[in-house]
Amino acid sequence: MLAFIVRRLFVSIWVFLAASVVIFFLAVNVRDPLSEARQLPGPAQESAMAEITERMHLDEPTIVRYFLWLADVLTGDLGVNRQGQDVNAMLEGAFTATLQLVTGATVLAIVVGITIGVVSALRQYTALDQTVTFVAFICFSLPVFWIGTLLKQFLALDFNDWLADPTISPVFIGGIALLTGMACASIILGDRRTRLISFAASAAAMATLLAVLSATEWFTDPGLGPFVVALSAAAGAIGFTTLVRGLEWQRPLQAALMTAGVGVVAMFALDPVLDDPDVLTIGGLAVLTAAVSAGIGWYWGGDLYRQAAIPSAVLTGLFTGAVIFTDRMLMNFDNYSASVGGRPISTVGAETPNYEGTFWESGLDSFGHLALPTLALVLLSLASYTRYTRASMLEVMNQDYVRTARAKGLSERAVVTRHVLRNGLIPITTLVAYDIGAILGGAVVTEQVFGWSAMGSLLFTGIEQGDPMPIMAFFLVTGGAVVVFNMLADIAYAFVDPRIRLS
Amino acid sequence: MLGGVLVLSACGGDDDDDGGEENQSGGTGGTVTYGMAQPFQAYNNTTASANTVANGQVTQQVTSGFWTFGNEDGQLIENTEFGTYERTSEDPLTVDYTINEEAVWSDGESIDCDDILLWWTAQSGALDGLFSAVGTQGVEDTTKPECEPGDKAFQLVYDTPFADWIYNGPGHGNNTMLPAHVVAEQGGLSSEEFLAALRDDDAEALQEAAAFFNEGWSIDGALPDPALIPSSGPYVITGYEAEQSVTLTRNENYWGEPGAADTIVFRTIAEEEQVAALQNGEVDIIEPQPTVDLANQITGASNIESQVAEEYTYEHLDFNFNEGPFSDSLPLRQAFALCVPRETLVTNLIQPVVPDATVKDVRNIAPWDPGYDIAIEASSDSLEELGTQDIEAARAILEAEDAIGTEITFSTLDNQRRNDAGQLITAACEEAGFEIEFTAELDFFDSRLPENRWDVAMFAWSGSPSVAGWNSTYRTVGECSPTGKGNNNGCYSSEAMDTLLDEILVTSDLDEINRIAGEVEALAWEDLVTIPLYQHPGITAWNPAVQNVLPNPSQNGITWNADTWSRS
Repeated sequence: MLAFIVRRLFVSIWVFLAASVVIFFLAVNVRDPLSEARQLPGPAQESAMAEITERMHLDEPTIVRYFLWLADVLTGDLGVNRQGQDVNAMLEGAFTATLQLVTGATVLAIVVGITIGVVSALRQYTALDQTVTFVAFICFSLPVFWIGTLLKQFLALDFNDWLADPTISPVFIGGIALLTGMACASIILGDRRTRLISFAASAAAMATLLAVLSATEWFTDPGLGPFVVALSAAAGAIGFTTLVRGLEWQRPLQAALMTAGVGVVAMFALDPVLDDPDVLTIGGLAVLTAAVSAGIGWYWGGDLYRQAAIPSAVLTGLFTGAVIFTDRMLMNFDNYSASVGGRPISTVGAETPNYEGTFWESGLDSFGHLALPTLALVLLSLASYTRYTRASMLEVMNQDYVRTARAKGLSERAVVTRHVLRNGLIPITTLVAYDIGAILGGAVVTEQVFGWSAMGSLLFTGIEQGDPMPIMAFFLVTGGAVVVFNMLADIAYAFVDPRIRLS
Repeated sequence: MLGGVLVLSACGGDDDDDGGEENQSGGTGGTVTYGMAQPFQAYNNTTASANTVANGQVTQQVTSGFWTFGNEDGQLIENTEFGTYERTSEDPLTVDYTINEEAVWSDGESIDCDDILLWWTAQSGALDGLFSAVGTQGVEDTTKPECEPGDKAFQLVYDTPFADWIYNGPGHGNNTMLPAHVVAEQGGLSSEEFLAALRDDDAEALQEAAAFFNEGWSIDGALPDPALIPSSGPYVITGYEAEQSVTLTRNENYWGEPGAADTIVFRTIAEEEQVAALQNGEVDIIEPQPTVDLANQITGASNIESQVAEEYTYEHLDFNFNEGPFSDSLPLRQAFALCVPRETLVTNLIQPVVPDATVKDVRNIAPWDPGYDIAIEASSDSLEELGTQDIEAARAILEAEDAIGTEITFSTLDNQRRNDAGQLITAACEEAGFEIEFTAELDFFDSRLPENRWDVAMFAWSGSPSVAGWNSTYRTVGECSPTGKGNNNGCYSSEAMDTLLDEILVTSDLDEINRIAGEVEALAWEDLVTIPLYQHPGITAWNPAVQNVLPNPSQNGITWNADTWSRS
């Protein structure tokens, strides 16, 4: 393994250096950096041109400028841009903004994409599968600036307008209920009768829920309340236990339910702490939750069931925490909404200027600004994840060992989670690793449309001004990320697929 | 002096007929947010490299002066809160300036002699331009004012009469007064030493101070120490998020009428995204460059107010007088003027945005400027002959000159409106008998225009009511090279014109100025130096909850009266 990493790194460094030469020469020739200065009147022109020439070493041959840059970079100095601003500081700002912008979007796209892919593979050629494929391809082929405009119109302008009087029209309730019913019916396996029942039940449940929410004007002052939180926690406990181990054994389920119970009790106990916490408190609580849950799983699982009880309990614990977190966010929604003139979903920028509020209100402010760009990015990258996952799942499902597993009487859950999913996800790791590398490069158009200034605009302004320093800073991060994450993908491969030997 | 210098390309606001008098609303004025496309980059907007519209719009409310451009007609407004000035002698031209007794920087330091001398030293280009300035026209012809520490009055005495003397004192924006006590401290000098160095022209002692003046006020990622950026206006800069926003709050030490809004936020938002942001309440006022789509989007939106009007910036065709078919042939230029479809350009490209836009018939004077009618009157013969498209007449001239099929390079900057205009002109003039190669390039201003690789060029000048700004555009150049020709891109040269231009610069009587400006227009038509096409359209849109939004056509744009904006 170590030999592999060293060998790989060694090769990567040379590839990286060669690429940097190519990029540098391209960056130097992309545009004349003096063009704006040439338009200045009289003596201002001369002095501005002289200043830029000296700052950018324009009087040196490109190869000399490259080595000047390289020497600086080796000491950690990325130089200054055309205006003399420090590129290190610019990169730091841009990188932070990019992380904010794309981290959530990437995680969401991966989780949602893989889940949808798995479901559509398990229900191959059903209406659900076809619909998912259709929608995924539509999203994939839409240009981002257009998605951006649509999102702004419907989810920002119209949604914010609607929030002023949040009643849901019967037609809308009917439509949503119908869609929910159809989705549930096509996920459920069984005969026509079972599916009809599930269609009717889920559609009716959704219609009732929406009607109640609409009638009580829940959307002006939303919240989950202890009852819903407790219910979600219990449902989470059952769900995660099913996923991890199945419900045949009592102990893991009991451990998970116990964790959920502790979580709900903690919600009341920690009420004063949760009124206005800071990020550290929330992080600490998350770690504490994981530790306590693991403890419950370890103790209650005993020697026999520990292996299943611990992950069930930890997942349930974190999930319960997330539900409580969401509840808190929702409880603060009316305050936040009032503080921004009743228009919580924003169309531009990373934050409301000079916004001051509690942890929850600032959180909602970030959320309101991140919602649209995140959704745009997720919609764009959803297609590749669902399609790859689906294809690779289907391939694995037709393997002999899956038939063998079924033949020896394993439950469908065990076959899918243990044998199909694990092997099916191997090719996805490459995709994920490569995507993370690429996404650090930012989403130039998305940034433009939603008024963010991150890695994309660093590159864009660099190109616009014919300024190689920001372009090279961009290259160092994104090029480096691609190299590193591709290597990580290879290493991860060896872990998930023991047949592969790295050395 | 440079309040209205001619600069390439477009920027500005618009005008219309709202009430002229702004009413001050007291009490809490809330937060008003203005969306602008360019980021704020420097507190000192008076240096050559930092002078941008965005910087000017922000500092308009922060560093004040004796005058500004504003109102619905974009004319000069005296700012008597800052001080008063009057012409006390015509020969030699002498202007007395008196700063308000109560005028102080927001840190309590009085605005007085050291600020005056710093302003004069920078704006006059003294000490070999040690302190950077956008331009030195006007002030360079004055004698250094004399003042003692604490003096609030000074005198500008001109060596020669100067037409734009009313625009020549400290104003807002790129010729404003900056805090000398901050420059002194950053330059390692005490106030007394700094003042002494300025009075004695001691360039050596001022090196470090000048370095700070020229570079130290640029905003790198975060605001400088608040002590370095005091205010002499109704607002002080208190907040900044790189590439996102600048926040101004009321200056508690301002001696005049306090700003109406508690806070003014300037948000950086790309123009295409501004309308959605306005509709969503994230900004209150926007002023994007109007396209037909954008104008439709704005007028189609239900909950916003908007106003369209023409701006000072105007589009025109330049002829190349240095080389090529037009350089020594007036008939060919006349044939070209006759084939250009000026009415069609306005009908197709401008009226969809500004319905009552008309063809522009004179160059340097906007329709709402006082001298407009005089200039039209003076040019009436040429306008009669050349003012309306007449392809037949153009063809007749070309036939008489045996010039059918003359090859012309017609160049402009690549954008939608100029491409459309270029197609219309090309089609009409090819019908008249020219062979036109139309080029629209993104680097038009970088290479083709300065290097004279064109026969006809189409671009815009941004204007103002001052007359010194356009003076160099028609003046004979020393050398027709990219660096030598300045604003006279076609290298036009005429002794008669030079005489008129000299004369107008040294005239200080307004009626006389308007008369000479009319003669300049008449001569420019006679020689066909350029062909004016249309005023650029402007659009302003705002949230009806904000009061006192008054568009004007000057370069200050909508922010000229930001201190009276308030939210109900």
